[in-house]
Amino acid sequence: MGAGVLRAAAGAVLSLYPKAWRERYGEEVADLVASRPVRLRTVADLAAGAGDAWLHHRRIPGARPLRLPLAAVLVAGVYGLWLLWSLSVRDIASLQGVWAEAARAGSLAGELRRTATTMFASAGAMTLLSLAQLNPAVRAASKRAPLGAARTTGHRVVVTGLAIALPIVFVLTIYAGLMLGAGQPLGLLGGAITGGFFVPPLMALILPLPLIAATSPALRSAARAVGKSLIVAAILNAIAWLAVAVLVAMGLMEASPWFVTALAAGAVLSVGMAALVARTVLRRASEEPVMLPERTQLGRAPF
Amino acid sequence: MARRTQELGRFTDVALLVLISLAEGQKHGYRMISDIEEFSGTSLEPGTLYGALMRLEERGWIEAVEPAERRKPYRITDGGRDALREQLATLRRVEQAGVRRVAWGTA
Repeated sequence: MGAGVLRAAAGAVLSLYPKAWRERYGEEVADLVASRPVRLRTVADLAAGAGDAWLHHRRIPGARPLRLPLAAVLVAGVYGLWLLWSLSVRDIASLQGVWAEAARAGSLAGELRRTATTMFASAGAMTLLSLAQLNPAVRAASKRAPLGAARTTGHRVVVTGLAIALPIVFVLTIYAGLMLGAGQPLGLLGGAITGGFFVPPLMALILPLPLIAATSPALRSAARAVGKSLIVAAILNAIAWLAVAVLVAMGLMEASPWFVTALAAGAVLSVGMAALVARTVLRRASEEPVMLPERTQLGRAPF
Repeated sequence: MARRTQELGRFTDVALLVLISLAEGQKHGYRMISDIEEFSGTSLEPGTLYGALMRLEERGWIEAVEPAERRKPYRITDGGRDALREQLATLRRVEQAGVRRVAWGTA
């Protein structure tokens, strides 16, 4: 392989290092690469170094903690959840076998199934109802502060609400369709678990609204109230998964390892995502705002 | 230092070479590689060298010096010198034990 190609490859590998590392050492290493012979071993060594720098990001002098963007985490979570749901309900033998085995124990299986279905539905309803707490605050802000930033934030909440209405309706329609037997029949157990895969995406969809509201001091208390309702929704979701766990444990002998793995991963992801959404809203809504001096008729107040 | 260098992982040996190189005086990356090759026969690549420099800097055993020219030099700190002394003492003990045992084996 030509020296020029290897030198170009080494330069390209350098761009794979974390930004903080490149800011700290990038120029020095680029200088070394430019002034020394570059072999295949050099490129491989740099590639290993890039992996090491990402793995030990916090060791880079002056690096800020590595944070994944919340939106990316939630989008990946939603895709992951629906993949796990698909894997779970496709295993019809396990769904039917677990239910038949659990039902042999008596009425407890029916109670657990009803509990799971109701709790998941309640978590979804609580998620949507939580938004009602934003409505009066947005209206009041529009009336009280005709010139202020609160009104602009209120408008942003309304516009974003309109933008996410369609995806919310889409998610609810799919859920209702599945529960009413459209598409592949889910069976009693399948119907009981399905809600757990839909609650977190619903929570993630409404997330922008309280987060936008939290940017305005006038709407922050309403955003905090939404956050508290989302905590309740997350708890209901967790309780429902607990009921599912007991139900599956009762018929575990009939479950395939894949079914148990997909369902367990789905439960962990669902509970984790719901908790993440609720915690994010509460945290943002509780942060102290950066208070700017209020604008008066004479300009900014001198304090 | 044996315990203190455990976290340096696969960079432990490289870190020792870098500290020995800098114990003589401040050097930039290019000179460190040449110096280490000269006194130990080890040819370091940039990725490995800077992996070790990152760890040593994070521990406060070396620090960057304001460059007088284009290349940025590094120097060993007092903490780095102590750590180096400790590591060399450990190596001396290991070497003595090794020599003793080899002598026993041939006796």
